[in-house]
Formats: sequence, structure tokens, C-alpha cells
Amino acid sequence: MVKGAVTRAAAARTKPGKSKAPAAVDDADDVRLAVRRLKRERIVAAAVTQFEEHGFTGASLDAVAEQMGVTKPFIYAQFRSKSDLLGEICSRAVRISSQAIDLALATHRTPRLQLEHFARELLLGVLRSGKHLAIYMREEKNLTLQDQQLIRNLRREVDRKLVGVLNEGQALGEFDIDDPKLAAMAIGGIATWVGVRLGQGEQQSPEQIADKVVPLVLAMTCAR
Amino acid sequence: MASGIGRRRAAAREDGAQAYQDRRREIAEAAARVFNRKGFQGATMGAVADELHIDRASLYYYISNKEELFDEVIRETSVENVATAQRIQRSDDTPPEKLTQLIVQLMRSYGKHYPLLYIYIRENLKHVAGPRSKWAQQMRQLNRDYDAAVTAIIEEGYADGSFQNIGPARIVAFGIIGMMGWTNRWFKPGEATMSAQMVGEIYARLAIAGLRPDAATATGHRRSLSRGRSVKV
Repeated sequence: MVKGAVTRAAAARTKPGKSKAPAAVDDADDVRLAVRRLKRERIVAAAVTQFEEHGFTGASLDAVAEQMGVTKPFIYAQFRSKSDLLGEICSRAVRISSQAIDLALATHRTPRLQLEHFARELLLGVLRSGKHLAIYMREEKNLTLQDQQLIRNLRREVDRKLVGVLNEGQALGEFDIDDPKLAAMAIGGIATWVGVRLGQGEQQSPEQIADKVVPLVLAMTCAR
Repeated sequence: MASGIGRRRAAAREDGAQAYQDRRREIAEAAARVFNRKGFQGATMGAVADELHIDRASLYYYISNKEELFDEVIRETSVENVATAQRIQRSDDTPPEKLTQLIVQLMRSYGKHYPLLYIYIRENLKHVAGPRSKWAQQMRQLNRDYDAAVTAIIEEGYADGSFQNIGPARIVAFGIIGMMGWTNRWFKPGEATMSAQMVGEIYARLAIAGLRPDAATATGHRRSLSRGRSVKV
């Protein structure tokens, strides 16, 4: 599974640099990339349905292919195995929070605004990709060791950054928290859970839900 | 299957013979360890038998399948937790006291039944089909009852002014329950430096501090209050 893990890490790295390619190569490259991305998206979406319904153990790549109306080699051209697909889905689940914290840190200077932005992005991400998260929580034990390590590091990085925001806010007098580590976990839990619970057939837009949950997160840090 | 073993199992369960109940408890505990290692789908009756160093036939005397085992433990624990939440909610204590008790009790329950309730949370078994759908329905009702008890405490606090209104009571309740449920991501009683009780107390303080009416205004005063009561971990 080394290759799958490396592909995912490489994909994450190369995304922003793509626009620097020379114009002539750009078109063909863009088309190839777009096609590849589309194929991968479609396969991931089908796998999510299969894993959700039958669990990782009960699901098969045959069923994924059948659902898509393609042959298995079509899938093997993009993913090495069922485990590789699971790794992709789970890393997407964790990237909900890593992208949220990175965006928050890049957008704002003060901890309070960073936390607010993070909570909103996390919640919106969970509302968008709750299925990935549900699969990650249930199937984490079925990840390859490599993927487990990769994802654990990603999570640790998110926790470290969030605790950093809370500590800085504490020092500046923006927050009042006894235990920043436990508070960071609590914040993740609040935003994730409400997202999962309200993502199921709620008559509100994601932004409306976020407007109600962000104040709750801020209150829990006694933000002012 | 109206087999002899099925009848004997049913009879033994009904007369509640102590030895039989003790054995079932041992089996439930062993199963909890297997569920934790392999997840619900990966766990087998054979693995539970191995865990207990007994043969599978002996195990089948006590339990017909892993679903029965898992469901029974989860349902009983949830019934207990809902009853506790409702008792707390109906008591004469103040809303902050009620919320504190509720959070500590739930955390203690996670710790006491570790890791079964966490597995239930992770497995997301709300919509299982077939013979288990009745159980899933009962669980949905229990979860709704639990949500309702927490929501009622928040509403009561809004009404008597002991909580500042930071949003719809139902969403605040989900947030608090989520904060608790999310401990499944990191709380491992065996490895932790804190007990479930301590995590519960810290989270209760976090929630109460956030909901306190003066939380957003008083600065230095509130700060010193919460410092003074902090628990060393």
C-alpha cells in the first residue's frame, strides 16, 4: 500500500503547483488531469455507497465496478486495491478538518477569528462529506498500517494547530480555557456531531446551521 | 430455530440462575474486547470463544449470535443512561447542577462499559435491517429520549436565566452530546492519565462556563473563578 499512500500525499502536494506549467503543455495536461480526477471521483463515490451499505469487509471491488457499469481494470487503473480506496476515503474525512484549520490560519490573524472560521469550515465540511467521516470512524481498523500512520499524523497536526490557536487566544485574553487540549477535542466533537446529526434531513441550509453552531463553539471557549 | 438449545437458553435466561447470568456477563466482557479489536463486522463467535478459552458449542449455550450479544449490552446500558438522564432532569437541582451531573454520569458510563458504547457510536448502526431493525428502532427512541432530556435541561436554564441563550436548545444539546461522544476518538481508560470521571468533570466545567450568563462579559472576575477550580490532570 506504499504506492497508494504516496499517490495521495503527492496529489495533495502537486495540486497548487499545477498552474505553473507552460501554456502549450497546459491544455493536454489539464485534460488528462481532469479525466483522471473525474474517474477517481466517480470510483470514490461508488465505493462510499458500497462501504456504507455493506461495510469494508462485506463490500467488493466487483460490486463497485458493477454499480458504475465498468470493469474492474477501470478501477485498478486508479486504485491499487480495496484498501487503497478505503485509504483515500478516510484521508478525505480527515482532510475536512486539516483544510479547515489551514484555511482559518491563512485567512485570519487573531485566534478568536481563526477559531470561528475553523468551526464554520469544519461544520460545512462535515455537512458536505459526512459519509466519508462515518466510514472513517467505522473502518479505521481496516486501514493499512501505512495509511493509519499517515492519517494519524494528519490528525495530530490538526490537533496541534488547534491547540496552538487556543493557547495563543488564552495568552491574549481572548479565550478562557482550563485545558486547551481537552477543549480542542471538545470543539472537534461539537462541530462534527452537530454536523452529522443535522446533516440528516434537516430543513436548513448549511450556512444556517453553521450560524447556530459557531456561537456554541465560541461560548465553550468563553471567547470574547 | 426452535431447537433444544434455543429452549434451554430461553429457560435459563428466564429463571435468571445466578451462574448463568454471571457467565453471560463474562461472555459480554470478552465480546467487548473482541469487538474493540476487530470491530463489529470483523468479530466472530469463534473469536469470542477463543478469548474465553472455551469451545464454540459452549458459547452457543449462552448466546445465539454476536448481534444478540452486542445489542443486548448496548440496549441495557442505553436504557440505564436514559433513566439516569431523566431522573437528573426531573430532580430539584439547578440547571447547571443537572448538566454537570448528566455529563459526568455519561462519561462514567462510557468508561464503565468501555469500549462497547464507543463501538456503537463508531459503527453507526442506526439503520440495520432484518431481525435487528426492531433493536435499531428501540435504539433510535432511546437516543431521542436522551436528546430530549438534555434539551429540557438547556431550556430550563434559558427560562430561569442560569444559562445564556447561545442558540436553539436542541442544537446546544447536540453539541454537548457530541463533545461527549467524540471522546471515543481519544479516551482510552487503560492508557489515560485521567479517569472517565475526571474527563466528565472537566467537560462539565467547560460546558457550564460557556453557558454561564456572564461568560461573555465579565473578564478578570470570571477568569479567577475558573482558575481556582481547575483540576490538575
